[in-house]
Amino acid sequence: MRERIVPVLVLSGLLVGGLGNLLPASPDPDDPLRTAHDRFYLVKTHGAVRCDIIVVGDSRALRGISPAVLEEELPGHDVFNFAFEAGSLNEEMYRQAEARLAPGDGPRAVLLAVTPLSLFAWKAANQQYHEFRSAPPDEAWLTLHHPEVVQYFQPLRLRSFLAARFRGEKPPATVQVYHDDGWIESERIPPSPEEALGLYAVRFRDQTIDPGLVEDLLRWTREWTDRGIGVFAFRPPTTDAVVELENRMTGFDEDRFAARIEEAGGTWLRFTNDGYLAYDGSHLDRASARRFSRELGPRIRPQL
Amino acid sequence: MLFPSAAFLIFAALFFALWPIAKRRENVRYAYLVGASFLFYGWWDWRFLFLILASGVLDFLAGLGMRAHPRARKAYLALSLVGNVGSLAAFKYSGFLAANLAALLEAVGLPGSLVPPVPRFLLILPVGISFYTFQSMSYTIDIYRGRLEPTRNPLHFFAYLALFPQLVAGPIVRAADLLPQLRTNRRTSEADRWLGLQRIVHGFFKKVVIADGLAWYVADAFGSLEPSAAPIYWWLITAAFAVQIYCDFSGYSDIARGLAKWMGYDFLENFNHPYVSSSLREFWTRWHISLSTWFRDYVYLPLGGSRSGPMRSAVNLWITMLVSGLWHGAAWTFVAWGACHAFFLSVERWTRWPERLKKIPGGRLAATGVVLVQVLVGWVFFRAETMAQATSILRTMFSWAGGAGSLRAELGGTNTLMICGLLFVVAVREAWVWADLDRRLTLGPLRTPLQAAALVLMIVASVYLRGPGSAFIYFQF
Repeated sequence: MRERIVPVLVLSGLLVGGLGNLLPASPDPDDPLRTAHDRFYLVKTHGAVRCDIIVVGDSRALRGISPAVLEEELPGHDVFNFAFEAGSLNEEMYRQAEARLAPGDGPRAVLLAVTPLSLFAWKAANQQYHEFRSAPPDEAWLTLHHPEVVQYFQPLRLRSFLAARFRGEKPPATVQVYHDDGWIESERIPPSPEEALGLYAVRFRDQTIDPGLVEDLLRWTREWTDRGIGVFAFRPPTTDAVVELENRMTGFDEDRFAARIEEAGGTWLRFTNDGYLAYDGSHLDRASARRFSRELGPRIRPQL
Repeated sequence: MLFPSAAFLIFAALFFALWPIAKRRENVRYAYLVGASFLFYGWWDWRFLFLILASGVLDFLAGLGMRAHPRARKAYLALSLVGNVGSLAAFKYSGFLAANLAALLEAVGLPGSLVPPVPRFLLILPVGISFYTFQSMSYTIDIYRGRLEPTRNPLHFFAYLALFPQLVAGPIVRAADLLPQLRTNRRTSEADRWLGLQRIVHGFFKKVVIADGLAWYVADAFGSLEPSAAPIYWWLITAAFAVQIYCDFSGYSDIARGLAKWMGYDFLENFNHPYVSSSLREFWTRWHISLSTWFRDYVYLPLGGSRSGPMRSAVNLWITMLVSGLWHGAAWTFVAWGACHAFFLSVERWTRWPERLKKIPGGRLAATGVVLVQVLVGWVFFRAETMAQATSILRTMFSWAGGAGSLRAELGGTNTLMICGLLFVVAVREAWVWADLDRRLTLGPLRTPLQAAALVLMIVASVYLRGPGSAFIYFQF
């Protein structure tokens, strides 16, 4: 019988190799930066990060705090944004954040971006962190060190391809730039400031802040401050409507929370929402994120 | 190590490059198989190699003990069963048992959670534990029954237990089938390798294009905070899950069987187009065959099977299906899935409706449709996060409200098109089998070129049309 396997494999190899060149550079119209996105989170979970100021929180910190701008305001400090989408404030995240702080006697600080959502019990699973932390080691290595190879073999997302090409279903364009310091620079064109309200109204239904997570946060604040690590907690700017919704539906009492943080040895920083643009009603757009980071730096500088 | 990963491609390339040399000498062959299989398994988490080693050593020694001390063979069997079931109970069911015990205590006025005292490492489920413990148990049970001679060489035993293609998700291979195959240097013909390639490529296509392509829609539907109230939406999503789990699991089996074929070994068919079944009994002869025959031989028949009258037979069937449900996962939803199948099977036995229906014109097609509906109802329990979610979805599915318009509103046109397109690809293949066209259509000299073209297309599709990646569903079992 004639050999059939080699021709099939050779032809397949040629087609696979060739198609990588022919397919659009961004085969997923909904998520053209898939590889950059994956690499961004793998840096957080697998990268050899060492900093002396670290940001912990959820997507509002992830998109709202630029370490590069903070470093301009805090010369001599290395800052890293260790926040995640739907990120939680809990034991595991504190341990992981501390492990990324540079050892030594120099000034070190943890910036806790507090939102009611980050203190819900169901968020303690740290889903996105684990999704990337448990990535197969070969895939993590390839994405971290040779993202161009991964990008070359990115699959064509038929669903979004069809939607974009033939049906005119075009979601609002979201600009996302992934920075190695852990910040996602974001912008929505045009902005949709009402979007978050509807989503949060569903998410907050029957949810309350987990007192256990609050106690953990206070305990870690005490431990860190006892060991000379500064703790700065704050509610990142968003829209007044979202703040009102959060307070009403989750029972979050910012004054009481701030007092407890202060009692535990931390510093509570207050910011207003004035002048900031939340592109989807919740997350700061890139210009606002830079502005907020520039405002945040001087507030912590005197206490470092 | 996942089959659809760069690491596995490199591993497989190296393994098969050296296999023709390694397989010539018996000792080298066994050592090579064991070493490669442990590397394959340890790539995921090397610490759990100790678990498979401990489980294997126990059964290896129990097998030798039964042979050396026939009078004490019951004790050796008990040791093996306690060890295997104990390790399953510890790693798979401890959290579930603790949570239910705590709920029970609370119900009788003794509140207190038992979950924290369960050691943290026991809450991690080692990949493939359900598969290799069952495979290991079948070894000692077969020796106890006098159907198998124990092997004296631990390398032989571990080559059987840990053979990498089927280690983590089956098929569950019996020692009586595999040990004799491992003994010889089996040559592979071009026809064997061609068949192996077809199975591997079909398996990858099913997994990464179909199953992974549907996975997102299913996960989104079952994870939604605002579940849809449109019956047609849930019928489509449940059908999508039915196809997802079939392509995911049978895809893995196909790859495993193809790799084994390249090594010169034959694994039995594990899935034989289950959705063309015209009775639920037939479904269970086509779905996860290696597991259903395992339960038949090691649970149902030892309980008495159908030899002791219809009532006892029904009880045995229920016990077997409930245990099978629990095998799939430590949650009440899996038990409900088993109960659902036991109920439908019992009704089928008592009424013999499939035989009666098939006597009328169009009856076979109608019977296939009824079986499909039963299976879909079962899948709702299987996939649901909670019992409450399962019952809510089933209530919606059978409420007969809404229509095609609501489907469009729920999913959007493109998503509906994508799901229907992927289901259509599988439906065409199943209809082909249902109509027996493989046998009826003789393609003559066109057969090979058509097969080759299909393989090339499937390989290219598996690279560029693969869905958002996820591990095989059955890894969690």
